[in-house]
Amino acid sequence: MRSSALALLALVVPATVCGLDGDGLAEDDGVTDVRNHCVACHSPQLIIQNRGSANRWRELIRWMQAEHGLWPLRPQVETAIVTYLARNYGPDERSRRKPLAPELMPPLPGPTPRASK
Amino acid sequence: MAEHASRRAFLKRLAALIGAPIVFGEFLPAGMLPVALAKASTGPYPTEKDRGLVTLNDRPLSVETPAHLLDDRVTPAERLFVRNNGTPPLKPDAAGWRLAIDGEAVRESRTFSLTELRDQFEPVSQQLVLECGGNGRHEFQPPATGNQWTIGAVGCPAWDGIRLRDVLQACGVRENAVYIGFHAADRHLSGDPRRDAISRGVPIARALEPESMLAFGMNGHPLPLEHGYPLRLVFGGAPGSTSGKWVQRISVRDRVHDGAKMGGQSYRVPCKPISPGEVVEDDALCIIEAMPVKSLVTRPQSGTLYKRAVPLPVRGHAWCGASAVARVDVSIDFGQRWHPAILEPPVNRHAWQQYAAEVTLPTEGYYEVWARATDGDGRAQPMVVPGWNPRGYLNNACHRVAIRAI
Repeated sequence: MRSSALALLALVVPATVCGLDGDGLAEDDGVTDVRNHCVACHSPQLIIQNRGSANRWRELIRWMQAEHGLWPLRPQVETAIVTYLARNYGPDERSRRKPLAPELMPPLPGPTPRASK
Repeated sequence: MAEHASRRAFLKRLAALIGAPIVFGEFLPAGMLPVALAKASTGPYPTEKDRGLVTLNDRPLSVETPAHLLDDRVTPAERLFVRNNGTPPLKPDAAGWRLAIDGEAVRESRTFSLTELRDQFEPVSQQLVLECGGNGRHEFQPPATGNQWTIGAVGCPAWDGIRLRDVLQACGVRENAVYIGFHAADRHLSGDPRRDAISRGVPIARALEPESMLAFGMNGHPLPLEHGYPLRLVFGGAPGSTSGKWVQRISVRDRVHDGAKMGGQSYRVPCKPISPGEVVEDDALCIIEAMPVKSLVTRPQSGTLYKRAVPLPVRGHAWCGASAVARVDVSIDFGQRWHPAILEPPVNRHAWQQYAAEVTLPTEGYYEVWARATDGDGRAQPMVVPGWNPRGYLNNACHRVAIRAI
């Protein structure tokens, strides 16, 4: 039981964690609809850098339909897109000021750290 | 589809020019050119941007500069952030370029060639801060939609051109003038030719300030393509979106300009402060007219190791959209104690100012160097993220860099 669950994980985890296509969008149900309807006008980077709840993503779709010429979406297509976005690009943890980003951090104390000057 | 096809054709032409195929050319961000061709570029070509810059979005292009690459007093073109709203003109024709001045509140509508602008108006060169209204957006919670700028959507090049005031006054500004609005040659992302990608402006009083410019050049060279070649507006200290690029028409309006990205939530914040995530109606939002007091630590570079117990020089820039910066203080203990820095005056109004200080890291361990600028009215940078707003503008929380003392 346990080993078969692990075997299943081994199959599933690389596909979801490492499954980034060339355009950077996470490979998951709904990504084809996102490519067809969202990336037709703007870069996938506009999606990837943002975070939001299902409601927030739906608001953005309405806004793009009202203001920026996005065409009407069939309900099942819209649901697939919103579900995909909320699952893969959902809200981040809240903070008034987060720790500095990992790429801005100095190395942790090691056995032989060397000063830059 | 058509854009892809023409892009492929464009890359093919480039390959012919430099005599070699452009490997991975399809992955070049739109508006960027391969190094071999961009080397010689002034004028209608994009800059060869410093490789340290970070691309947040490739369509439309948004690129920001890490703090340590903003150390220059005068920001070089290769280190200046880019924020496009639409698709820039591919090959603007300077010889045929025209600037029209019109609008309800102009006495005489006129059109100028670039040569006429150069010949008829006094040349000026000024260092003016250009900062995106959304610089710092990435820190807002709940998240605000848009380019997730960290700290690098700012720069202070020396702009070469003429005063907008001189051109407007040559046409005559009526008493009923309220605002100016620009129209430019970049195309809306949807490709719809009837829509402006962006059409913003400033109040008439700001347009008539002597520092408000129509620029042909930057740092002694023609404007690079992505920075508005052959003609742009520059309003130092106002949200960058007011400094229209590829400008073809300026309307003197008898009302607040109502062009693309003037209304709704664009470049507006709640007139009265709201709580994070609170719903606010569009009519309760006010236009941002000046960027708040702010500073950057450009040395040391975040992530560096330094020796403890020896002086560590700290330096950077400070600026304020509405006035000058009165003082800068630095802290190495998370804002518990502040040490005054030496602050230089600006070279001209709306230029950033340089500061320098020395700190000593007393023990081994993790430190953050913080800088806090205070403007002439006593307003200092907050240490946490300031007032939440739906689009995440005006984050002027003090800059932090991380250092380990060994």
